[in-house]
Amino acid sequence: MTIQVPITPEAEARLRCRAQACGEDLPSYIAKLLAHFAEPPTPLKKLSGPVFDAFKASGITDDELGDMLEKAKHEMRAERRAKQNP
Amino acid sequence: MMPPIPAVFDCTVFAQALINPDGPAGSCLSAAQAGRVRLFVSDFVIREIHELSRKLPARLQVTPERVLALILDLAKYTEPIDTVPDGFTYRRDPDDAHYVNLADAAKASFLVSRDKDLLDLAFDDDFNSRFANLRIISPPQFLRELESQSTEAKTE
Repeated sequence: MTIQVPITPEAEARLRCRAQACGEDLPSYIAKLLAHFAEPPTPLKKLSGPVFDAFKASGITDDELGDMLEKAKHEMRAERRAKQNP
Repeated sequence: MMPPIPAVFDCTVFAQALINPDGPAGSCLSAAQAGRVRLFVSDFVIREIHELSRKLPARLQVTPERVLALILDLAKYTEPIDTVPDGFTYRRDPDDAHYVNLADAAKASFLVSRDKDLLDLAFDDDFNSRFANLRIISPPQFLRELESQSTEAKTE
């Protein structure tokens, strides 16, 4: 099947760059991208794999994990702000 | 079938879903994968998911490859918002404002987060009158919303 869709010149330029980097022509690259988007999402447990196993083995509760992630997020943001405003 | 609920997730929800797919955050993301949630993201959110993984303890084994796989997979079922205005600012945590602005730009009904700074906005009258159609709730609360909406749809 062949479809025609309008895209902005900026999007075309970015896609052309990425296609070249992968050694593909633009139509083939976009066809591959669309095929990827059309795939069903990967089950989270498959994406997680050993990460989920490590979590279960750790004995950490989901609430404790949530607190850990919030703390990490605020540290990450503080570091980013410090870099932006040294 | 109920139309998908438009929502924005905090970066920690994505990370928590990856680490514990069986938890409430995992169920929220699975609902988005199943098409029950219309999930919006921005470059900022994707960047935060990526950066957050570097701050996690090694014992959780969250490798850059796992995070990249999650981010690539998001492209299959999330909707990117290219331009997010910065109309709302939040002194308590300036970076939280982006999530509100993203939700506003996407006309999302829910912003899902465990962040106390964001959750406290639900008690701010000025905020609620400005963003009357947006609710900021935790992953377990969002799951209850999904459940109640699906129950309503079945009884109609």
